[in-house]
Amino acid sequence: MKKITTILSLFLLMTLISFLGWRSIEHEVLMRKNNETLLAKSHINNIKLSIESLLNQRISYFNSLISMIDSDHNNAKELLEKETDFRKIFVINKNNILFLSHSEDSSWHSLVESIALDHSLLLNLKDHDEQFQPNSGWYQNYDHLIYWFIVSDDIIGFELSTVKLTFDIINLLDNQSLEDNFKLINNDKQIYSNGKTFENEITESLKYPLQNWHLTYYYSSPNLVNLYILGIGGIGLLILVLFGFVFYGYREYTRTLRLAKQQVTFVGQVSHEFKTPLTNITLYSEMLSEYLEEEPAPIPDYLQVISAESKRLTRLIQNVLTFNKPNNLNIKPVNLTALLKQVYLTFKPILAAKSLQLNLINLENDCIVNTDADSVMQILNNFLSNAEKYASKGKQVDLSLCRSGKQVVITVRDYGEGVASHLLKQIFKPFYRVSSSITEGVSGTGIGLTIANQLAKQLQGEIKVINKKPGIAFSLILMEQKNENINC
Amino acid sequence: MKIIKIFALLGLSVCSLFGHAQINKQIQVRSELSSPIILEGTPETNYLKVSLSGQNIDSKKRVPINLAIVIDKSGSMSGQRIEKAREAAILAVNMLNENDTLSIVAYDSEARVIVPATKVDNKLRIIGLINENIYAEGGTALFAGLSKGIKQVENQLTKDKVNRIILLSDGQANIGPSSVDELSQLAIIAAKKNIAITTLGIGSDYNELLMSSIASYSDGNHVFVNNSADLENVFVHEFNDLMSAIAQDVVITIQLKNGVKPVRLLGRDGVIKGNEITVKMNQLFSNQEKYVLLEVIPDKGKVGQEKTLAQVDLKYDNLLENKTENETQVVRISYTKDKKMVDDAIHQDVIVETELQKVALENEKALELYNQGKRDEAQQLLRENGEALKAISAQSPTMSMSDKERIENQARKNKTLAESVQKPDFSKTLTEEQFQLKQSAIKK
Repeated sequence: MKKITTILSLFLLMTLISFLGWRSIEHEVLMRKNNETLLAKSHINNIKLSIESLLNQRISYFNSLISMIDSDHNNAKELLEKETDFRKIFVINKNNILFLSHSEDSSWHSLVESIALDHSLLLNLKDHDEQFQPNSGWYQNYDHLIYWFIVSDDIIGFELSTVKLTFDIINLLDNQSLEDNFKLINNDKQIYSNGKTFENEITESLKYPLQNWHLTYYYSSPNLVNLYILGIGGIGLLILVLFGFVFYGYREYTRTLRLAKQQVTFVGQVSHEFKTPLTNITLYSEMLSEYLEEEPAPIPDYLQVISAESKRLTRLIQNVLTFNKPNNLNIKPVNLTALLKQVYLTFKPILAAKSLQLNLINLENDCIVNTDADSVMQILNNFLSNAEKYASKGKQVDLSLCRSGKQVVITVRDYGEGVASHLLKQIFKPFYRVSSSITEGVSGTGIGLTIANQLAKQLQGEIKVINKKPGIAFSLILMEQKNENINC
Repeated sequence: MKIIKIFALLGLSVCSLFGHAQINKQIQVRSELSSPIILEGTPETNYLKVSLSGQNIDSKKRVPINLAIVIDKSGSMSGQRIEKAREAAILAVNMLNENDTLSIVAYDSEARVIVPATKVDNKLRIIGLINENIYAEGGTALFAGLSKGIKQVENQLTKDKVNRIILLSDGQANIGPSSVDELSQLAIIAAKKNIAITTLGIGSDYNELLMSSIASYSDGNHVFVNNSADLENVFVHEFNDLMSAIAQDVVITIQLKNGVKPVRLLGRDGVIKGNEITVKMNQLFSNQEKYVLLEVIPDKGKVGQEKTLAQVDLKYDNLLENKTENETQVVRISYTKDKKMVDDAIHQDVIVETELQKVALENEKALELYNQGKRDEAQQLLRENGEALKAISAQSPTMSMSDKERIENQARKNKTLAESVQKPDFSKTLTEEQFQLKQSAIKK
């Protein structure tokens, strides 16, 4: 169940990372596309402006010529011979044509005649309102493109040479933009093209009077394949690294667990093997002490030591075995008050031997809880023997039993040196021993508290450790099954 | 001592004066009437020929060339044509030297400046660029190509150089402005900048009207290259011309006096404004004679009278001396009663050129007929024109051998042309012939 949850959450995490990564790639793609479009737009505008400025240069050039032409029409002839920007010139005064070049060109002739008859033809009505009378402007009639000026009474018109304009545009663009891909088209005629054709294009029309000229700008989509590969690769790498960490952590965890298990199993097996010879040693030492009771000192004393030490060793091995194989619980109503009194009586002389005084304080009356008496006894034994071993400096040990709500709390508190706060969690780990001056020279396996903790969990209870300064308090908390209205 | 020095200086300055006087003779101008003496009272059509012939005094000295080669590299050029074009361009590079400027523009669907106008001092680099960039593909953006060529020449344009473009094409312009009118306008723009465009039409698919118009409006040359293998020869020929250029921007102004009326110019285009006729020539080469033929009707006169018929003003840039020079000549006409005197005074060579130009005009009509699809009529006309020339040569016993040869040569050409009407490249051959004839240049 736990495994499935882990895999599922990992999968969810992966999906989340992929999704977020994908979204950011898409965002980047959109941004790049947008940038390309903006860039293309600014480029097309630049080209457009430079073409239009060419036309404006023409206007100012014509402007500089009008006074010359107006004063002497022969100047116009000379200009026509030399200049290339315009092809034809006319000068109209009121309704008379004063000067007309290329009068043999009939369409040109009739066009100028019609202008002479009706000047308002020149006004491009959609551009100006009726009150405003411009002094100059473009006039377009089929393939004639005329720029005209009104100078006092005269109207002077230049027909623009579109061929020269095209020539200038081609060379202007040739000089300017080398990197851009675009086409300039007049109606259907391609005037200029530069670079290649790409899938994306923007088309813009030029300003009047070149409204039939279209500028098409081509630009390629940014190379997104790389971006996608990079993005997906990045996401993949991230997920891979994540999985790597998880896997590494999991492996370390299982390895430690396996090692610990091996250790425990090994100790268990060894302990089991120790048990039989030890029983024999105990038995024979006891028999020997009975047999040699009358012997002079120090023989009985020596025997006493052998017997006591072998018993202690038996106890230790029993502890190890208990830790290794959880004992069967025998749950029944237990009178904890009675149990505590029993413990008190048992341990009082042992503690006294280390000049510790055991006090039974705050004892609840008739505190009956559904639990396993042996387990509780073992836990308390552990607490008290720890106090005996490590807190002999404290001179006293307090044993208490109280109730708080549905909980029953049994506390053993000593007045020794206690345990540093950061080590409080460690002490429950198997085979862990606090290394300090107080543990030196004291025998111990380091699994007492581990067993106690295991037992407490089996009883659906828990063990709490509180640093009291001085000393330390170990509490066994059990859940009370019967509802009794007695408070601490 | 001082006196000697002064004399020496004087001598030097006199020498230099003479030197100038000699160099001024680099262009010889001859203005002559076909009939300088005419009968009184009956003004007949007369022809005024103003001919310029270049004399190269110092044959080693040559005018720097500012050349742009504009190469069509459209798909149709692929194979031998583009190869030959490349070779021709490389030939051009090799023929030029570090005083010359060369630019190369190649066009297909778009035009690209392959070699921007540069001094021809690193030939290997230019040849490398040519080999790298000239390969055939795409359409024919002739307008853009030519525009860029003009621009390249314009960038290095100076009066002391021969400014020229060689345009090479084998196809119809199909991208950009492509009409004869539009490209003629472009040629006029080039001409106004003193740039001549020589057009080489390769194969049988190009637009001969377009190519010859470009050449004629810019006073360049037009050649029909039927076989691309001939391209190198054409280039060499063109280069020999270019390298022998001695004058540029030639303007001939003829002012008719005393009620003489201009009728038309034969061959060359020019402007006739009232009594003033202006003809421009872009370049004059040392190895040829170019002329203007003006048909006029002289005024009536009395016996023994001699009148000024016209004043011919010549203005040109002397390329060898880098200065503008002027020359003025007066043409006179006399009146007599004696028919014999009139006949004796006739300048046969002027008559010959007149006849040749008239045939050119007639042949033009044949070309028009041919283009309208009336092949037989065109053939007939060409044949008749040839016969007419032959008749003239036969009727004039006084004609010199060289003149006779010119006439008969043209008559033969006409005959050949008439016979080749059915051939596929007829109109291209005829266009080229016409062009050469109307250029009114006599190769020496």
